[in-house]
Parts: sequence; structure tokens; C-alpha cells
Amino acid sequence: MPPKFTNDCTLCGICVNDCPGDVLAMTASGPVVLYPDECWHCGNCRISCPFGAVNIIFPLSMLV
Amino acid sequence: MALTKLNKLGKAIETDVLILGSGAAGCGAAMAAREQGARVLIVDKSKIESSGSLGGGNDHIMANLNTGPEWDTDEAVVNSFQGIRFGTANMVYHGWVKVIPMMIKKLEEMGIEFLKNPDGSYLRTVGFGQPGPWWLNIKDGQFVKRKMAKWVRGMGIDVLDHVMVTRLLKNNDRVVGAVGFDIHDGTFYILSCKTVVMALGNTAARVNANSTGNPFNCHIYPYDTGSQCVMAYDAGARICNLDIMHGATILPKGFGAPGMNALNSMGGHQINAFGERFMGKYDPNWENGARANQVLGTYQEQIEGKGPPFYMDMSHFSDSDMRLLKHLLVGDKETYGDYLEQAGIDLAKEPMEVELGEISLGGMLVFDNKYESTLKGLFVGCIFMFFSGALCGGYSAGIEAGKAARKVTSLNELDEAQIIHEKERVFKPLKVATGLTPKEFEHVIRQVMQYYMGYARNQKGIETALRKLNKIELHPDEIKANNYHEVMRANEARHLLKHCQLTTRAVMERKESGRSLYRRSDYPNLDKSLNKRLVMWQENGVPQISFEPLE
Repeated sequence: MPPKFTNDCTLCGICVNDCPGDVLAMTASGPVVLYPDECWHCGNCRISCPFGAVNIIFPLSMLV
Repeated sequence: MALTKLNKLGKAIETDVLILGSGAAGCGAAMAAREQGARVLIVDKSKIESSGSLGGGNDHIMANLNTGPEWDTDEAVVNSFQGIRFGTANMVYHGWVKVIPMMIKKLEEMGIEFLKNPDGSYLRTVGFGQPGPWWLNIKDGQFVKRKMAKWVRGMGIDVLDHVMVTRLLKNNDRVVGAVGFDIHDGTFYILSCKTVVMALGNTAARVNANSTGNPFNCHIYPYDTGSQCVMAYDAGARICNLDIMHGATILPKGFGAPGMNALNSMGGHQINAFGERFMGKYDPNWENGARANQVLGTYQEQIEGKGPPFYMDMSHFSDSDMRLLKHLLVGDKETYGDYLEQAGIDLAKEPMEVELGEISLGGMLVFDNKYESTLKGLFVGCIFMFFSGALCGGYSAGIEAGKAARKVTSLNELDEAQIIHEKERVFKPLKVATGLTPKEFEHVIRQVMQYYMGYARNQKGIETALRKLNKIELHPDEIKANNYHEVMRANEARHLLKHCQLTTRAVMERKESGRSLYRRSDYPNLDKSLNKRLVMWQENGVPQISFEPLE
């Protein structure tokens, strides 16, 4: 489910704060997609990330 | 600066002009009210950098520039949009069209760039069957909201992010503030002001779903479930056009994305399962005609068994047009390129499968020539359509809200009983031990709407839908929430239910077809005598309805 966070993530939390749907949450090990089916796939998390640590991976249901 | 203090019920903030919603309309309203010298507070449950439809990107803006040709005049645009949907010619001109050239310059001052021709003129394209190329193409449209947010913050406008407003506060017949809560920590906010601008959006999403079954995967901003009309109606305002303001578009298969303006205006061909380019049957401008015709044309092909699948074919585009198309699509939705790559679609080589998307609802507040609603102190920022209409309409309302605030010498007293009651109501889902999750509750609403209120409708089905929606209303207290995010979704679901009830009641009265994108099989023709606004309001909790001509 989009987004997917890479090892370049510094846990700054900007993506979590900027998500318009509040679907992300920060944990001790990094951001997680807490409500994946509420994601609009808008890419704001990726736009916000200063470290290029966000990949967008679409669920299979959107690719068939 | 707004004045903030703690009281026994929560955090209280005082300002002059309170803007509800920080999308394009809210930003326009905030800028204008601030330019009038007012203290301005803009509030949204999202963050201003990413909130609203514009937060997802936008690749085009509609703009008349008065460069000489007849199609590029104020009059040409006004003539296209005046009517029961947007208002009289006077309203369309003063609220929207007159503001556009100034707003384009302001956007450029913000650092928003438009694509240019080699001679330095704007690259303009035609769309939606309009009489001329009114559309400016935006460079890097996915960053528009970031630049606008920076501008708004830089003007000294107070921004309150992550607060969902749930109810307007009144003192007698005047709106004097609003209450809401922080979606992360539950802090309850009491917002007191001289005037309010409603800019929460004219649409209601999550009414039904496309082929993926996911209501959040939709073509418009999914976090707006009709709060604009519902909160105003609850406060006693008159609302209108719920019967005709339905929206839908053609989507890349499985991907809730805008982008059809670029595909249609650049010459994409829509193809049915038999390889036929069919849109000429439904609109003289083929794919680049009225969007309702594209939607209903595709629906007609579908019920005739000529699809699915449907396709958009852009493989005949030149290399330069293909590069421009891909730039625009990513500007309209930042993840469009990821979708194409992961779905294995090469637009230059093969048609892209598309589908008939989900229906969204809409509606607006009745307003006067100062953009004030039927409640004193409550102004209407969401009137016109597209990025251009939202921004300019919000700006026009913000000017009047700022001027009106200057005439109010002091803040009105708030009714503590109203506030206590709303605080208990908002957080009640946290106290429900066993019940439906917000997601489960919403699903029941969609069961009704998707089954009875689709692209084809009839009186019996509409009546059945309303009866079942009213049955759901008997159980709103059964929504349970485990945290403040779910409290937000629970309150969105409540607004969605009310919006669907009001819309269904309104559609029941509009006994004709052709003024929206659904058809009534029992009234298949346009009734010229119904060229009137359907206005709704409540008296003692009972919906009242009246057809009213434009004044």
C-alpha cells in the first residue's frame, strides 16, 4: 500500500504531518501507513520528504 | 494575531474573520480578508500545504485574459456560466470573471508558473466544449498548493491545521464562531469571530465507489463529505442545488485521479470494447465536449454492452505532445506516473484502459450580492467551479467578510450550553463500547446510495433510498471510535449521511432529466419550467423545499 518508506528515512515526521488524510503515524522505527485504505495516493508525503525516502506502491486492486 | 486562551471547555481563539477550510477557496478568502486589514484565522482538519482538491495538484486554470478575440472576453465567460448553478450574470462577473486576470498575476507573484509558447505568450488549450482556449497550463502543478500556503502564511494570516470544525455557533440569528477538535490530541477549540467564511468545499465524496470498491480512491478530494452544506443547514441557513450538483468523470482503470482535461483537450480518443470511437454520438465536440456528456455517453455504451472495457487512446500524439501530456498528468496528480509504470501502461504505444468513475454529490449555500448567506455574518466562499472559480469566488467572499467585520465593534457572547452540547456530541463515539466503526457505518450509507441513486433513477427508488437513509439516522450513536482520527471519520460519516438524505430529498422533487449527470427514467426530458434553484432549509428540524427563480 502506498507509500513505502526507504532506509533513507530520518524519522523527521514531516510526511506524517503533511498527509491530508491523516493516514500516516510515526513509530519508533519510522512512519507507518496506519490507514492504508484511506490513502488518496496524492503523493504529498513524497513531495514533503526532504530525503527522497518515499516510494509510491499501488495496491493490486488498483492495477487490475 | 488571533488571541488564544484556555477556558474550562477547551482552547478559545478570538479573531476578526474566521475561514473554515484551507483549500483554494479558503486561501482566496483569507488573502482578501487580510488585505482588508482584518485579523484572519484559517482552519482545516488537514494541513494548509496539502489540503483540499488543490493539495493533490492541478495542471490547468481557467482564465479569460481579454486579449481581443470574442471568445476571450468577460462576456463570453459570463454567458457560459450564468444560470441556476452559479448565479446571475452579475454574480458570475463580479465574483469570478472580473477577478481572474488579477488572480493570475498574483499566482505568478507566488512563484506559480504557466507554460508559454515560443513567443512568450501563454500556452492556452480548449476544454469542456467551451468556445475558446480558456485554459492556462500550469508548470509543475503538484507544487501549487505549497507555494500558495507559503504566501498565505507570509501575509500574517493565522493558520490552525489539523482541527476539524463540526458546528457553527450562533447568537440569535447571527453566526459568531465555530467549534472543532484537534484530530491528533482531541483538544477542543472554541473559535470566536466577527464574520465567518464557509470554504469547506462544494462537494461530498465517498458517496459511492469505483471498480476498486474503495471510496477514498476517488477523482475528487476524498476527505470532504459535505460538511459545508450540512453545518450551514444545521445552523439554519438556506442551501441549494443539491439536486443538480453531482460530479463524475472517466478514470484510468482503478485509479481515482483527475487528468481528463489534459487527455481530452490534447486530442485523446475514447474507444469502446468494439474499438469504436463513440463520443461523437453524444457531443458535437466529441471527447472535448461537456464532461456530463462524456460520463453519460460512456454510461450509455456500458448499458448497451459496448463496454467495459473502455480505453483512452493517445498513441497518435507527437513526441512533444506526449512529453507535455505526461508533465500535465503528474501536475494534476503527483502519482500519475507511478500508476502508469506499475500498471504497465505506455501511453505512446497503447491505449490506456479507463472506467466510468464514481458519482460525487455537491451543493451550495444561498447567498446575496455580498456573498453573505441567509445567516448574518456567514459568508460563502465556495460558489464557482474549477481551481479558478474556487480561488476567485473565495477571494470575493473574503473581501466582503473583511469589510463586514470592520463594522462589528466587539465579539458576540458565545452560548456555553451550545458548546457543551456539541462537545459531548462530537466525542460520543469514544464512549460507545460496541457499535459500528466509522468505516462500517459509512458502508451502509453507500449500500443505499450506490444501489438506488446511481446514473439512472426513478421516483420509487429515490423514495426507497430516502426511507432507508432515514432508518440509518436512527442509529448514529452506534458509531464507535478508538482514537481521535476515528472521531474525525465518525463525524465525517455523520455529515455524509445528512448530505445524502438532503440530496435524495431534493432529487425527488426535480422531476426531469438533463440538468445533471443522472437520468430519471420516469421523467426523461428537460422541463423548461424547472429552470429554477431548488432551495432547502429546515423548520423545527423538518426539511423545507422550494423552487426559486434566480434574482
